[in-house]
This record gives sequence, structure tokens and C-alpha cells, in this order.
Amino acid sequence: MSFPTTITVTARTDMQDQFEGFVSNKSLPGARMTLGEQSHEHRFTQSGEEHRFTVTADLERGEHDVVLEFMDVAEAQGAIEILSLYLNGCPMGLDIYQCEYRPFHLDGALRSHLYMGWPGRWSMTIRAPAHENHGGVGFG
Amino acid sequence: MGKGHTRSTWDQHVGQGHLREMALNIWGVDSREMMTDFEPSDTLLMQYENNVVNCEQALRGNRVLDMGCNHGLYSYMAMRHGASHVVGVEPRGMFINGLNAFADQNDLPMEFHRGYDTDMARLVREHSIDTVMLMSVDDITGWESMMYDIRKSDVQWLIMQVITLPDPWIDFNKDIFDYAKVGAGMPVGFTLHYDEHNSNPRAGVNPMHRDTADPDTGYQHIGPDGKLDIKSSHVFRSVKSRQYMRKFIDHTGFTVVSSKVQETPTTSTTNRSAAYGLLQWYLLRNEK
Repeated sequence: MSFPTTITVTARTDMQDQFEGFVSNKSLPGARMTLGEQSHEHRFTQSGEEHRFTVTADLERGEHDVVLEFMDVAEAQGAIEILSLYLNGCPMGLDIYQCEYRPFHLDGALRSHLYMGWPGRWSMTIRAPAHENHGGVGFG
Repeated sequence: MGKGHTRSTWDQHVGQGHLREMALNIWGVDSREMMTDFEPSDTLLMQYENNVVNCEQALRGNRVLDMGCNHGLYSYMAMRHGASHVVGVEPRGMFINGLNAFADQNDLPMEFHRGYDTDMARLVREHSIDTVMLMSVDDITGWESMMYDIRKSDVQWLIMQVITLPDPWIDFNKDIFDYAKVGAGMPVGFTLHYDEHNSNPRAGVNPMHRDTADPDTGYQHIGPDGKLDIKSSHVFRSVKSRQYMRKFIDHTGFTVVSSKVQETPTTSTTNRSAAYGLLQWYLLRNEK
């Protein structure tokens, strides 16, 4: 049996210092969110832009990763900050910090980071069905 | 009542379309897929049976206050089981706004107010409440104060779901006995205190930081500057022993119509107390 699960992640790009960005030819990043076999891509077009990544996937009972990763590996890109995560419409509280961020150029993971200053992969584990495993989600 | 019978009672009283609409109003379009084939879990059915089905005599024809109504499911179920009017109270705006919109759209006799346990006595008076539901609020609110307020009011019935700890969990040591000998007497129960963060389904309950809580989610772990501030979401949870709870109910003078301790732990739930088999249900009568 599978459980349809919808995740919305709101993320904002941060080009940091505009002059530094000009000098180092820093580009606006693109990001891809993946859940199960579904994904959603977006390329930011201006500094400070916020975007909602929404994916619905049929998940088997058990653990699954929500992944938000840079589409390009080049280091000269703006940063991406994760602002919020909604699971089936329910806003995650402190649980959002149960995440890990793996910059592409580093070995190992940084825990509880919502700010991706380097291109990399951010992930958080959720459990399906969400209403039986995550407090506050649906009529659990 | 068997599980199958509870489920068929659920099916007779719940409108699936209503549940989808409630969810849509509370959690928005992201809840749509989740609710497509929604099936109540065993834990949900157990709570429904003990808080609503078994308490119908306290609901039918009565004006009901659901204190800490959360997503409003039990307010709705109380109404479906005959309550003439239901008032739900909850600190989080996302629930209050969504549930009021749902009630309005369907012309249902329900209304929801943003408030706290400290508002209960006033709301009981203002809404001429006959029955109060206190579901899983005993460990995070001033439960004893609410019990006094209800006892002194014109409320007729009290439906409670509480967490109670088995009395043998704590053995009293020699110091307790020595203290008793000098005149303090023996304890009649105990309360265990846990500190944790309330940025979860019980958000918004730290009285120190109510004014700065997120009005929609009740979250208190984000400071005014938008940065993580876990100090503000810190809260104490106080879980009482079975004997203390029973003694306190006796002390306040309620009549116990029925009391039931959870028979078996449940799985597939985020309710850790249900998963450990610690729930207890009371139906109390407030006789003068």
C-alpha cells in the first residue's frame, strides 16, 4: 500500500555580497527537490527570490528522504536558504533541523543546517504514512 | 465495543467529504492527496470510542466546549453525535481560521476561538456550556485550576482523556517515610515533570512567550529576528500518577460516571502515551 504525500519546501536564494558575486562571476543557482520518484526543479532569477518547491509522491510505508540539491556543481553560485517545510500542509517545527547538508566539495555531512552556502545536497528523512508518524500532520 | 463496531459507528457519523473539506481549510491544498483515501488509525478509533461514542449521554442536546481542540476532529464528532452547539478553543490560528471557515461553509453549529486554558472559565460562562471536553491537555496546562473552574461552574458533564502513570512506577524511599513520621504524612500520588520543546502539535502553550508566538502555528522557537530561539519554546510537561488523578477528582467532588484505563498500547501513532498504553478516560458528572 502506498501513501500519497505532499511536501512543500520554501527556499530563498542569497547572492550574498553583490560585488563579490560580480568579481567571482557568481551565478544564480538552480535547485531540484526530490521525493520518491517525483521531483521539481527551479532556477532562481534574482537575488532574494523565494520559491515554493512542491512534490507529491506515492510512498510505501517506511522512511524516505526529502532532498533539495543544487542542479549545478560549480562552486561559484549563490547560496540557498531553506525557510520552511510543510508536510501535507502541516508546517514542520523544530523537526526541520533534523536534517543534513552535504556540500558537494566536502566529505561528510553538516547537521541541522538550513543555509547552503556552497552547492550541495540537503536532505531530511520523513516516514510514511505521515499522519501516523509525524505529530500534527492530518487527523492522526 | 469491538473495533469493527467502532469503525461502523465512525462510518455512520463521519462525512468523508466533510473531513476532506476540514483538512483543506486547515492545511490547504497540500492536504488534498493525503485525504483522498483517508482511513482512521486504530489509535484514532480508540480515542473516538472513548471520548465520543461512550460519552454520548454527555453530548446529545448539549452545548459543548472542546478545550484545546487542535484540528477540531473531536469537536466535529461531538456535533455529529448530537451536541447542539460546539465551541472549540485552541491557541493556533491556522486551526481556528480553518475550522470557522469549514463550519460556516457547511452551516454547522460550531465556532472556534483562539484562546488558552486560562480563558476556559470565561468561555464556559459566555457560551452557557453544559459539557467540557478536556482531551490530552492535562500535562501541558493548569489542569487542576481548570478542574476547580469546571466544578464551580454550571457545567454538567466533563469528558476527559488524560495521561496517567501506573502507581508502581515510583517507589518511595526511606526519606519519604521519615518525612511522613515527622508529620508530613505519606504522599497520595506523584507527578513527573518533563522538559521539552513545544514546536509540535502542542505549540503555543508556553505562557511566558504567548505574545510572540507565531499566530498561525503557535510556534515559539523562532525569535522576532527570524532566528532559532529554542529558549522560548521550552516548556514543562507534568504527568500525574493514577492515584493522584483519582484523589484529585474525589477532592473536587465530581461524580465518576465511568473510568477506563487503556487496555493495550497502540501502534502507528505519534501519540507516545497511547503507544505506551498510558491513556485513561473519565466521564464525570458535576452534580451540585
